[in-house]
Formats: sequence, structure tokens, C-alpha cells
Amino acid sequence: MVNVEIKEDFDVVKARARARALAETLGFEVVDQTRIATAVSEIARNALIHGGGGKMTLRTLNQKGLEIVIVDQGPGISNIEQAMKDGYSSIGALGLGLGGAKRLMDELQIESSNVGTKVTMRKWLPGGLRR
Amino acid sequence: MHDLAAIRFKDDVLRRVKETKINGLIIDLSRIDIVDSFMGRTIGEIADSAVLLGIEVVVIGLRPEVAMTMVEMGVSLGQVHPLLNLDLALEYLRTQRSR
Repeated sequence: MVNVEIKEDFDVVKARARARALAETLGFEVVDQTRIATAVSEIARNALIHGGGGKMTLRTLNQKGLEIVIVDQGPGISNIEQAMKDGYSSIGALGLGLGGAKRLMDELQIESSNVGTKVTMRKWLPGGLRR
Repeated sequence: MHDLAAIRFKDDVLRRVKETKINGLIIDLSRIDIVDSFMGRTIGEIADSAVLLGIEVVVIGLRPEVAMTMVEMGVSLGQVHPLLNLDLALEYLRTQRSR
């Protein structure tokens, strides 16, 4: 299990580097490593900008996949459905972050309340879902 | 590259564009291992600003896995002309200038 605190800009770089390194160790191809690092970058930045910072936890799923959990203690996302839509941004950005990250990963779940947000993302190795 | 570095890069490039008389700008992304929505927007802003100043912008060295991820995300780079390498980029800018 790997933990990375997200308190400043550079921590977003650190978070995606750690996620990529673990993905590589698990045997993900470079395209999947890039998808994972990019999704982490989006969600970690959200935690920093909207959540005032947070924490990323990485773990392997039985050597068949990778789970990334990013939590923050920010004000939360009031309308998750809207936030997932491309083109929606509360700060005038591209608004591709959440929806884009979801497309890059196999699973993305958001739990959000007025005391924080938790995003759980998973990526399985090819054939990783089979027993 | 972290976000502040990307913003600094944008400011530096646009300042240099203003200071020097150039007609072409080549951005080499071969060292960039991810382009997320923020990075894409920043490069796009550089390109679109340069185009408004009459400067042709070419992007080279985009890694295949980065290009694929950008397409899946829906990230574009604004008004840039993507090319594979520096030789092609210089050739392209030369042809553009002589038109």
C-alpha cells in the first residue's frame, strides 16, 4: 500500500509518478500506465483545487489490478451527474477531468458529501477480471 | 511537469514570442509523459495565442500512448499542426512562409 499526501502542485506529479510506477511493476503496458497516470493527475488536481488537498492511496488487487483512492475534506460535489459531464467545470476549466478519468479507467466511483469527496478508481490487467 | 511549471512555460513562450520576430513556433513534447486536461489547455492556449499573433505553431514528438490517451479524454491542443519530427516541422514552416 502506497500513500501520497496531496498538498501542493508538485504532489500531483508525485501521485501520478507513484501510480505509474506501481502500474509498471504490476505489468501494465505503457498505454495503460499512461491512462492511469493521466486519470490520477485529473483526480489529484481536483482534490487539490476543489478539496484544498487530500490523500491518495494505492493498492494492488490480488496482482490482477490496481486500485487508486483519492480523498479530500473539501466542500464536496453537489451534483455528481453534472460534474461527470464533459464540458462542465465549476472553475472555468475544460471540464474533461472527471468524465475523462472515467473513460481512461475501468471503474470510477465517487462518494461525496459536504465534508469531503472520495474517488475510487480501478484498472484491471488484460484478463485480470477472469478467474 | 507540474501545473505551475506549465503556466510558467506558457508565459515564457508568449513573452519570447513578443520579444523576438519569429514566424513559426515548434513545441517539442517528446519529454512529456502525460497530457491531461490542464496540460492540454495550457498548450492549446499557447498555440491559439501565437496563431492570433500570426505565428504558425507546430507540435512535434507527441508519444503514441500520450496521443491515444488525449483522444480518449477528449483533450485537444487548439490550433496546432502536429508533425512527427523537427525536420518535418522546419520543412512545413518553410513552405508556409513561402506561400
